[in-house]
Order: sequence, then C-alpha cells, then structure tokens
Amino acid sequence: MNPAPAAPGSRRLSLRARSAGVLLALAAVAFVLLRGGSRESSAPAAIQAPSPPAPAAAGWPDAVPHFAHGWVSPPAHTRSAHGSSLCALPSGDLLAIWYGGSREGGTDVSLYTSRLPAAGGGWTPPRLEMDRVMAQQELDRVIKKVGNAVVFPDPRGLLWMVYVSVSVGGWSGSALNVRTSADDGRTWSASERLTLNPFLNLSTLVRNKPIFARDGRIGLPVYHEMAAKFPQILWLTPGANGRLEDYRVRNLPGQAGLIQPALVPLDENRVLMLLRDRSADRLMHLSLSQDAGWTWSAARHTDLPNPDAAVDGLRLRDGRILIVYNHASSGRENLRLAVSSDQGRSWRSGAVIEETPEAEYSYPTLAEDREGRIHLTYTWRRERIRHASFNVAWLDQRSLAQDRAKLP
Amino acid sequence: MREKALVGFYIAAVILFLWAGLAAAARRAAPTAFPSRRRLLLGVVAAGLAFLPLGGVPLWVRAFSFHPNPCLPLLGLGVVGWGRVVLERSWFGREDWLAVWSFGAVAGTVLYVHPLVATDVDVYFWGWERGVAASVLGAMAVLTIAGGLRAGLLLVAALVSLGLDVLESRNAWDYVIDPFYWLLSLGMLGAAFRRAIRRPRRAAAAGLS
Repeated sequence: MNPAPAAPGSRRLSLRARSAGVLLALAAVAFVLLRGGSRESSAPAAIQAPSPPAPAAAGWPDAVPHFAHGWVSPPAHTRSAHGSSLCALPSGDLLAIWYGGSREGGTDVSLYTSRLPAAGGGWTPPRLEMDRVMAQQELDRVIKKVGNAVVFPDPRGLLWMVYVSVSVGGWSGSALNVRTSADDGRTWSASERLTLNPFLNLSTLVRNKPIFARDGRIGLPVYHEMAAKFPQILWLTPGANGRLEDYRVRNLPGQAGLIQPALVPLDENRVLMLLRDRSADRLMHLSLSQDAGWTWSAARHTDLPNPDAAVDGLRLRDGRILIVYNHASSGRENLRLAVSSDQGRSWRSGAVIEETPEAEYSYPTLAEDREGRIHLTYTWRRERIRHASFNVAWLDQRSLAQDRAKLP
Repeated sequence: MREKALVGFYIAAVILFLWAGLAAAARRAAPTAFPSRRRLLLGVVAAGLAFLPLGGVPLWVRAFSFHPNPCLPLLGLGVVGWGRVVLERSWFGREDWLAVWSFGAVAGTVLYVHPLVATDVDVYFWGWERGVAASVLGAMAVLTIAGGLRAGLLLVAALVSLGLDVLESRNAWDYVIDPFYWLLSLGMLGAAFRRAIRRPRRAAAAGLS
C-alpha cells in the first residue's frame, strides 16, 4: 500500500529516520540523566543553629556596657560610599565590603574591602577588590557598573563574595556574580556569572547575609526588581576546591513589593525574614520559614515604619532578635535599633545610632564577633562607611534608660 | 575550561547568524549571481565582523553581554536559515515551522508571563530539576520526531547541550526558550493567523466581483 501523498510544503521524515531520531532523543535523555540528572532539590534538613552562648568563664557576657563609634572608610576616600556588608572571619577578623566612586551607579564605582584585625588596631586602608574593567575581563562581557556586594565565610572557612553588575540599563538590569577565597579574602577566584532569571538574566540583586544548611548549601537572600518586585532565596551548593558546584533560585510568593530580605535564623528549622517595603504602607514586613528557609509564610507587616530602606537583623546569643532600621515612614534621617524577645511578634524600639535632619544613614549591616560583641556598619551621609560596636549590656542599658524616660 | 568552551560556542553562533544574515542580504541584492565562492567569502566577512571592535569591544562580546543564553531552538533555526540561504537546502517543511513557532509561543508565554499573573507558581524553578526537565523534553522530542517532524531534532540538540552544560545557564528552560525566540514565534504565528483570516475574505471578495 502506498503512503498518502504528502501535502504541498510537507517534508516529513521517513520511517527509518523517525526510528533513528527517536533513539537519538532517548539517548540524549539518558545522557542528561547520567551527567547530572540527580541534581533535584528539596528543603534542607536543618540549618546551622545560631551561635551557642560562650562560657561565662571566658569573660562573656560583658557585664560592662560598651559602645564605640569609628570609621571603616577614610575621609574623602571616594566622593560617594554606599552599600556596606560585614562579616566575621574564622580568624576573628572582621571584613567589610562596600562600593565607592563619584556617585552611585557611576562607571568609576569600585568595590572595596577593609579589615578590622582581631589582634587589635583600626580598620586597614581600603583595598580595591573589583571595578567595571576587572569585571568585564573576568566575565567576558560589557559591564556598565558594579554595585551591592556581600561577603561571608561558609562553615568550611571558604570566603564568598557575591556582587551585582549591570550590563544593560539601571539597577533593575542587574545580575549576580560569585567569587571565592580560600585565604580569608587575600586572593580571589575569577568571577562566575550566575543565571537566575529567564528574561536575559536581568534583575537579580543581593543585599544581606545568608543562612547555612547542615548539608553544606548556602541560602542567600536575593531579590528581583524588574516589572514585579519580590524576594528570592538563592541556594548555592559549594563543591570541591572552592568551586560553585550548583545553584538555583526560588521565588517567594505572596510577598510582592517587598525586597532586600534579611534572614535571621531562630533555630535549626525556623528562619525569620525581614523585608524592605516598597509599597505605600511603608511598614517593615516579616515572613517565617519553618523548614530551614525553603518555604515561607505570606509576609505580614510589623508596627515598625520602613521608609523604603534596607534593614538587617541578628539573633543575639540569649535568643532575642536585634534589628537595625530607619525609624520613619519617609527619609533615612535616623538609624535605630530594636529588639524582640518573642521571635519577631513584638518589637521594643531601642537606641538611636544616628539622627540628623536632612542627612542620610542607611544600608545597615550587623555581625557578631567571636566574643559576642555586635558590630554595625552603615552608609554615613553617602560619604563614608561608619562602624559602631557594642555589647548586650549596652543594649539593655539603653533600653532601660528609654523605659525610665517614658515613665510619668 | 568550561568558560573557554562557552566562549567558543558563542562566537561560532554569532558568526553563523551573521553569515546567514549577510548571505540573505546578498541573495536579495543579486539573486542570480551567488556562486559558492562568494558564499564562502561572506563567511570570512562574518567571522571578521564578529571580532570587529565597536567602541573598543568586539561585536560578539556585545552580543554575549546582552544575550548570554541563546536557546538551542533559536540556534537551530539559525542553522536552518543558514542552510537555506548559503547551501540552498530547505530542511524544514511547513509542519516543522508551525511546530517550531507554536512551541516558542507557548513555552515563552508560560515562562515569561506567569510571574505577572500567578506568583504562587515558580515555573522557572522547574528548570533546575534537570532529570524531570530532560524527561519532559525527551518525551516531547520523541512525539515530535515520531510524528515525522524534523523540528523535534531541535529539542534533541537542546537535550544534548543541557547534558554538556553548553550555555552559561544551568537551567533547562534556557536551553529551549529565550525572549527573542519567543517574540519571533509570536510574530510568525500572528502573521500566519492574519494570512489565514485574509485568505477566505479575498476568496469571498473574488467570488462577489
């Protein structure tokens, strides 16, 4: 029996070609499965629990209130400085990273780091870590500018730097890049571009520090800004030799208009997320994960105002949560601390770190050192990066003083 | 090593598209005079253009900066287009084109429009599940090829490329769809739909006159 004549323009495969094609397709599927089909992901079993209390014999907690102010970036180092991130290194040193140049988004903006040695002394002179030209060379593409960056050590001691670069458009055209360092940030691997968005890989930004899963994965809070604004969690899987083995990003539903998530681990399973509010409500929002950061509750607003500005948080060793934020519905003229003793359900507004009309204090970041002392860096009037350090005794002293002031 | 392979792959893709574009333009300008030597020469010109510095940056780098993950169906269509204008071979029939544009339109619309409509579903995340993605793509490729369509081979190419991690992206979606392929698919389907609507009207008008 002759096959039916093909329609005009038809160019169907012969039976033999079809068989060969089907076999080829099956072989291709087998090839993908053999090469890496087992990369399926699920929620981490647990995250690294927050730091346990240090033994009292070691002199902790400090009974004497302590507060000190200082500077990370020297005067007039760059005309503009912004977006600092801070971490405590395994050696005990503190490492800060920020971007500086003639103005935010300028082509001359570079990423700088500075170190505060545990052995004593002040912040080291800023070290240039990345600029537009270096990023262009390492990533083999046009880079218009670099921006927000975070640094953090993973539990194995490998130091990570994740930074924003833009090839097209403004900040909403951002993409993320990763570098790692095996020597506490003295040398870095070449940058690796992460593809996190299907639309030309546009619009993924980073601001705050990650959580660490027991299985080695790193949950880095990131966010999307183009068309719709929402938070995401980027899960990084470290491989051998300091390389990034795998990564994937999860959108967080029900949190539209909320960006720059900051994560505070409460215990091995629960993580609190603080969110910057871009809506007209101008209230800080919270979300809670009960499965180590994999899924999140719908965000709810707190009573604390948020003038569309970044916040950060830290779980203190006594279980309370400390946050730093701008206490206003508009403007970033003050920077304040608040503490929650009930895991974010209510907040007690505490010490004022900065307050000057018409000035800007923003993008705060918190870290705790080995001795349990708390460190805060932030943008000071867009000119410099400032550093404050304090202990829990000082926090409690300030809270008590505020309570007394409220008494009739 | 992987980065070097990626760059080499990308340069080859840029040259292919430039070559096909130049050949199409040359054929249109002089349809009767298009000897094989001239076609080859256009390939050399395309290779030169790929490395032509524009504002100090080679053209391929500019393309890579803007579109780092061209999907395999789009690259496959580039190869088919190149074959058509340079080798004068027509590898795709009408049903192949319809399948290619339909797949691009549906896949692109699902992937790019869903975040604006249904934020609770994270379709892009499915692409990280390589095993699942490969199985779905494989099933689609088998069905398409068993139906006699060469277009199914584009999905096979995407699968092989995914296995080899050819693109910068590690997400399976980026191997089968990109914004340019999506928009091209919508445009081609729209044009075909318009032609299909006009045809009966013309026939009716001709019958009346």
